[in-house]
Amino acid sequence: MDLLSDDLLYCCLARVPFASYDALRLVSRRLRGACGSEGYARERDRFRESLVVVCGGSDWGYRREAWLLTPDRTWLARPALPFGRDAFCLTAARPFGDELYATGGRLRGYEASAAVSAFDARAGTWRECAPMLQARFGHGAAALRPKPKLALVAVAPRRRRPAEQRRISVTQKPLLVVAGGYRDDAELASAEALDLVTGRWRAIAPLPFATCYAAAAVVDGRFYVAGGAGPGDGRLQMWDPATGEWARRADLPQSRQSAAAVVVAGRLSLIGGLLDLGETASVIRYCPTSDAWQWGEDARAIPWLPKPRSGATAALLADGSVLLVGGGSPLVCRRDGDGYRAWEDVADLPTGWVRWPGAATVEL
Amino acid sequence: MSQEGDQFEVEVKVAKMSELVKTMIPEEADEEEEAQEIPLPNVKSHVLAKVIEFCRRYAEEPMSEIEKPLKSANMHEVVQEWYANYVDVDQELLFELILAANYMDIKPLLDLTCATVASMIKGKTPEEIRKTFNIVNDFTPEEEAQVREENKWCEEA
Repeated sequence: MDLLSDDLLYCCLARVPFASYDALRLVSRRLRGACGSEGYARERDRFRESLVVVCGGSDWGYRREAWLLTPDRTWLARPALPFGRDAFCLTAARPFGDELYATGGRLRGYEASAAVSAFDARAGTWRECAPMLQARFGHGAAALRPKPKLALVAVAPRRRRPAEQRRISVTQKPLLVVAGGYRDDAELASAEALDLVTGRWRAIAPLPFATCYAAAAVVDGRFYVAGGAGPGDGRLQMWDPATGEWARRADLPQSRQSAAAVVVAGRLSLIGGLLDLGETASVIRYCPTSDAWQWGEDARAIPWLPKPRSGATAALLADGSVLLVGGGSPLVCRRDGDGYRAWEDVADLPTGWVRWPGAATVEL
Repeated sequence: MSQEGDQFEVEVKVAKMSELVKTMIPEEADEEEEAQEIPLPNVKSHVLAKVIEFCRRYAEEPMSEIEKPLKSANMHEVVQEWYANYVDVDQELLFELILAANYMDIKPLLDLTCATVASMIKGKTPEEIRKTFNIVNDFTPEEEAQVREENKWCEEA
C-alpha cells in the first residue's frame, strides 16, 4: 500500500463500503488521515451509499442507542443520543445529506423536551444545538429547502435600466420546520422554524388546529401536517414558506394518528397508524395537485402493511425503497421499476424493536 | 515500450484504451499503418504485459460495471470470472497495476484494481487489515488511547 500515492489511496478507500469506515480509521496514521481528508471526501462522492440512521424510541424505558442500517441490511452501532427519548423527530437537513437533527421528544416521566441534537453521520458525533422555543413531543418536523432560481442570472445586462439589474432577489433560507405536539396534558398549535444557516429558532404562525401524533412531511416545497389527535384530528394543514401562512386542505378519509409519513412520486403517503377502532395496516395517499386523498389499490403506490401497526417511522432510501421502523420488527418495501413490491422483513434492531424511534436516511 | 526497453506489439484499437497512448497516436492511424513506437518509461515489462492482457480481453468482452456499493469481499461475485481471476495476483503486482492504470489512464482497469483493494478491506477488523496489507500500527500510545476512546461506543454495542 506504500506504493500508492495519496490520490490513488483515496481511489481505493472510497470504494470500501461505509461499514468498514470505523475499522479503517483504526489501522494506522496514514489511513486515519486519509479517511478524514478532503481528497477522500471528494472521491467518496461517487460511491456514496444510502444508509438509514435509527435512534431512540421506547420499549420498557426510553432508549438512547443509535444504529445505522447498511445496504446489505445489517445494523451498525453508532454513538448513542445524549439522552433517551421517544416521539421525537429525526430529520435530515437536506435530502440524502449527512446531517440530521433530533428535535424534542418525550423523556422519562412523560416530560416534553425542547432539546435539539444534531448528528454528523460521517464523523458519528452528536452536538447540542439551540433548543426549540417550545418543549414538545409527538410533533411533526421536516426540512424545507429553497428551490434554485435560474431566470434572474442568465439575462444579459442592458444599459438602459441599470437600477433593475442590481435588484437582488430575496432567496429563501433552508429551514427545519416543527409544528404541534404535546406538552402538559395539551395538544400544541405552536410552530417554529430553525434557520439552518444561522442555527436560530423563530416562531412561525401557529397551526389553525392544534394536533399531536400527526404525520408531517414536505411535498413540493410546502409543509404538511396530517391528522393526529386533538382539534387537528382528521384535518390536513399546509404551511407555505412563501407566505408564512397555514391553509386547510382536504380532510383525511377518517381520523388517523401515529402514522408514518413518506413522500413518493410527489404524494404524501401515511403508513399504518391508529384509527378510531385501533391500529391499521392501511396506507393512504394525498395528491397535492388534485387536493384529494386516495386509498384504492394502485400498483405504483406503497402496499398495505402485512399487519396493523402504529408508532412507526418511515425513511425513504435513495433507490425509492421505504424502510419502516418502530412499533414492530422493521420492514422494507422495495421499489421495483415504477411500482412497489410487498413489504419484507429486515433484521430487528440488536436491542429489539421500539416504539416511536427516530429514523432518517443519509448518504455517506 | 516498457521501462526496461522491451517492446510489445498491440493493435491500435487495444492500445487506444489507454487515454495516454491515445494522445500519442495520430488521429488517422489505423490497423494498416506502420507500427509506431510508444515509450512508457514508467511501466515495467511484466506490468505492461499484464495491462495489455486486460486491454485485449476488454476489447473482446468488456467488464461488467462494478456495482456500488461494493456488494462482496469476493471479486468473483463482483465481476466476470476472467476479470476476477485476472486480479487474483500478489499485492505488489496489484499496486503496480493501479499505478500503471492511473499513469496510462485506463479507467476500467483502475476501477477493477481499486475495487479489488476495497474488497480486501471490506468486513475486516483493523488488525486483519494490517495483516492483509502488512501495515504497521504506528499510533503512539496516546493516540491509541484516544482512538479507543472515540470508538468505545462501537465496542460496547
